[in-house]
Amino acid sequence: MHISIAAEKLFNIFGFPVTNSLLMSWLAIIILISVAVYFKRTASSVPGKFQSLLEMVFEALLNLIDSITQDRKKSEKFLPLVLTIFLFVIVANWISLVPGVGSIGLNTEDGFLPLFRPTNTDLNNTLALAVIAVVSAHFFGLKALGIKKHIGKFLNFKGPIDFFVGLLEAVGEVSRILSFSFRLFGNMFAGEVLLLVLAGLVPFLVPIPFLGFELFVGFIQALVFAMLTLVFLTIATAEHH
Amino acid sequence: MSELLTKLGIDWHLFLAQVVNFGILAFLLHRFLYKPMLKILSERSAKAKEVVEGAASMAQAKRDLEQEIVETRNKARKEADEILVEGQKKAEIIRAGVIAQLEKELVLLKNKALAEIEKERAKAMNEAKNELASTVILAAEKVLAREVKNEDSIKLAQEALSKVKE
Repeated sequence: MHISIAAEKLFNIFGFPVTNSLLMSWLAIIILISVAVYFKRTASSVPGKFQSLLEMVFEALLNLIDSITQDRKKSEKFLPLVLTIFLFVIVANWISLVPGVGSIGLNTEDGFLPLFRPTNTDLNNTLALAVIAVVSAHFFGLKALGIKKHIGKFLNFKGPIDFFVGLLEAVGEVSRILSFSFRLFGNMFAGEVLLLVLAGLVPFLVPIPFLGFELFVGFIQALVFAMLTLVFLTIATAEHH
Repeated sequence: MSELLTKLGIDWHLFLAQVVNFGILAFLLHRFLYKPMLKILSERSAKAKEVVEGAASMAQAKRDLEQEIVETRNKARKEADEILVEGQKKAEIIRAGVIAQLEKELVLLKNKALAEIEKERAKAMNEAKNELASTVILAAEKVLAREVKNEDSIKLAQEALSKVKE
């Protein structure tokens, strides 16, 4: 049984390391882009089954975003980031449950090298998503409020208490990156380990309910990550009274 | 710190690659999925709004038309009532005129008939007188058994007539 916190390096391209988790993230990206391009090509005012399904999901998510921002213009502004996070995380999580991920690999001198590893069991990916989410919140905050007001949230010299609160806010921003990235990484890594251990102990039937459970966890984690990002974006762009 | 990052598998190359990957994914999804989807939804929503507004204006037009129909019906009913009353009045006048005319004609006819009767009666009386005179003369001739002369017949007739008159 091979369990490693770090993703395994498969090969190098001009000195750039390609890991098994990066390969999976490319796969998720290819799937999503294929769906988007197919939609763009076949989209019409009278939708077919595929378009209806996509529209239904899209509208449900847009309404969910509306319920948090309370403003359709804001929703449309945040939509590309929030929805991409949701779709990328959920697709990456779900394709990780396809048989072969983690079990197809190469036997090398260092031991078994899996060709595919769930994207979100690599901290590089979850950290990248967390940094993107937090930096985007600051970007939108700066754009909406202006430099003075936005920086004023963290550097406040009106009094010692305000200064301390500002400091806490600044620390909170850093811890937000950590909590974001480790929450997703921890949940998905734990799920992967659980499935691996179960498959090692009882290979047949027993892992099936856990696969279903992992599908649910994958959805919940994607939703939590996207919704928290949206909440931070909304808070960052809201005026303080 | 560096050792911890290595143990966790954090590599700035991979981190950067994931950031770029995500950026490309977000851009392409925005271009090929979100934008067209939002456009379709907004167009559909505008169309639905248009249909709803159209339905509302049609409903208003229907209400206006119904109101107009009710008003026209009431007006027509009122006019019909007025025409009926007017007609009844005119009919009454015509009936009265016709009755008066008929009565007049009836009186004329009655008078004419009475005059005719009187004339017929006078004529019959004259004829009866003449008949009677002839009969009297014949009877007198038989009684006298002789031919009555012209002067006698006149005399006898006058006598008979005076007797008849008595």
